[in-house]
Amino acid sequence: MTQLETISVKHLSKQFKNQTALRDISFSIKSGEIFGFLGPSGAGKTTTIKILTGQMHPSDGFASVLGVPTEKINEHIYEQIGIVTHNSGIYDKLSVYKNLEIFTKLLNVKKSKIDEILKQVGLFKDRKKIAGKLSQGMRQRLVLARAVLHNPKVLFLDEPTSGLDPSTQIEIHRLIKSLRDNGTAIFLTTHNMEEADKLCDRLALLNDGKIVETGTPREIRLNHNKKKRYKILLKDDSEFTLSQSEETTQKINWWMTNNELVTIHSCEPTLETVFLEVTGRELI
Amino acid sequence: MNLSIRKISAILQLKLQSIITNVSIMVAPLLAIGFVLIMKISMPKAVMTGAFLLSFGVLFNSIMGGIMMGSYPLAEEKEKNTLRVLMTSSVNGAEFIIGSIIPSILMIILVNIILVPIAGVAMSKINWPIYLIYTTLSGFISIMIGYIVGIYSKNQMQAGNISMPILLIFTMTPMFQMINKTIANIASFAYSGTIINFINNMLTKSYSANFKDIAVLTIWTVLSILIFIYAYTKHGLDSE
Ligand SMILES: Nc1ncnc2c1ncn2[C@@H]1O[C@H](COP(=O)(O)OP(=O)(O)OP(=O)(O)O)[C@@H](O)[C@H]1O
Ligand SMILES: [Mg+2]
Repeated sequence: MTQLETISVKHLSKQFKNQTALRDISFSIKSGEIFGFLGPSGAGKTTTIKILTGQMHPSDGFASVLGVPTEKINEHIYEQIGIVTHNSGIYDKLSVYKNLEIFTKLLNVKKSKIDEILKQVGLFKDRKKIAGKLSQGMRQRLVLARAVLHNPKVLFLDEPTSGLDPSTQIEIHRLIKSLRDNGTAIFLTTHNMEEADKLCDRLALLNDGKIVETGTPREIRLNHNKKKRYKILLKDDSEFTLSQSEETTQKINWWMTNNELVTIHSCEPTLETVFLEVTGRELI
Repeated sequence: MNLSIRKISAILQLKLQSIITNVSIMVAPLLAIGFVLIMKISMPKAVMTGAFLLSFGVLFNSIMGGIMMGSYPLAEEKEKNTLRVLMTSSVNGAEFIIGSIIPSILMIILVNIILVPIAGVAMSKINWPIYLIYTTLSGFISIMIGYIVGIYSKNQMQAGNISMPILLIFTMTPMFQMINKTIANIASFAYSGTIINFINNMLTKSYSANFKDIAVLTIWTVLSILIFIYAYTKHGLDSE
C-alpha cells in the first residue's frame, strides 16, 4: 500500500490566557501508521487532538488533516475521521445498539456493520443493555465502536485504554492494530509507556508542550542506550548493575572463567527511563 | 451550509426517542393536560369556563412546554457531551436544530388539539386555522427562546435556572392582564398575551384576525429567530 500523508503539523503552538499548552510542534502521520503521543498529564496531548479535529484553533502554525487545514474542517472531513476522547458522550437512555444505529444513519453505514463492530469490541452480548448502565470499560469500548463504525481514514484516540483492565486493553490494542493494517492512520495519546512501546509504530515524547524526542519506540530506546549496562547475578546471591567499561569487561570475564556467574542481562532503557532522562520528570 | 435530509431524519428519530424517555420534555404537556382536567373536575363551572381552561392549557403547553423542549434537551446534549460527538460526526448546527425542532413542534400541536375537548370546548367553536397557526407560532417562538437559553447554559440545571423567570413571565401574562388596564395593554404585546386574547375572544364574543395580533406574533417570531442566529453565530451550539 502506498502511504499517504494524512496528518501534517508544522510549527504548531497553542497559547491559553495564562498558559502555553503547545510550543512549536511539528510532525506528520501516514496512512497505515500508529503514531503515539507519549507525555505526562498537562503535556498538551488533548489540546493537540482538539486542534487536529477542528474543535480548537491554534495560536500559531499550521495543521492539516486529509489535506484540509484544520480551521476549515467540515462535514466532509468529519465523515472520514473517528474521534475518541475522555468526554465523548453516549446516549445514556438508549441501548448500546441504538447508540450505534444513530451513527450508521448519520454516517451512511450499513446496519450490518453494528453487530460486526460490537463483536470486535466484545459488546455483542450487551447490545440490548441501556448505555447508562455500562461499566467504565464497556462505555469506553462503545465509544471506540462508534468512532470506527465508518472505517475512518484517520482515527484520533485520546488515552483509549486508560482505566481499563489488561484483557480489555489487549482487545482494544488488537482492534487498533487491525484498523492500522487496513490503512487507517491512527493518532493516539497515552501516558502509559508500555502501551506506547507495544502499540505504536512511531512515537513523539511530549513534555510541557514540546516534542523532546521522536522515532520508533526501538530507536528512541536505543538512542539512549549509548552507555550499555549489565545486570548480573552471582552464585553467592549478590546482584548488581554495572556500566560498560574496561573494568566491567574484566570482571565479567573473571566471573565467567571461575563459574561464578548465574545470569547476565543487558539493560535496554525503558521508555520510562528515557523520559526521565530527557525531561527530568516522571511520566504519570 | 449544506443540509442533508438523511442526517436531519437521523436527528429527528433520535429526538423522537428522547422525547419519550425524557421526563423534562414531557412534563409541560402532561401538566397542561393534567391541570386542565383537575381544574375542570374540581372547580365550579362558572369560574372554570372553557375559555379559561383552554387558554391555561395552551399557555402551559406552548409557552412553558416550548421553552423547556428547546432548552433542556440542548443543555442535556452539552452536559453529556453528546452534542460535540454529533458535530464531529458530520452533523451541522442547522441539521441538528431542524431535526430537533420538528418532533417538539409536532408534540405541541398534538397536545394543543387534545386540549380542546379536555377543556370541554366544542370542536365547532374553534376557528381551527387561526387556532393552529397562532398556537403553533407561539410554540415555535418559545422553542427558539429555549434554544437561546440552551446556547447560554452548560447543563440542565443552568438551563432550568435561566428559563424559570422567562417562563414565569410569559405564562403569568394573563394574570398580569387582570391587574389593570395599563399592564393589560403592555401584556397584549407579549406573544402569550395575543394567544390569550384570541382564545377568550373566539370563545366568548367573536374573533377576526387583526393587524395588531398578526404583527405581534410576526415580530416575536422574527426577533426570536434573529436573536437565536446571533447567539448561535457568536457562541455556537456548544462552545468551549
Ligand atoms: N480550555 C483551556 N483553557 C485554559 N487552559 C487549558 C485549556 N485546555 C487545556 N489547558 C491547559 O493546557 C495544558 C495542556 O492540557 P492538555 O489537556 O492538552 O493536557 P494532556 O496532555 O491532555 O493531559 P492529561 O494527560 O491530563 O489529559 C494544561 O496545562 C491545561 O491546564
Ligand atoms: Mg488529556
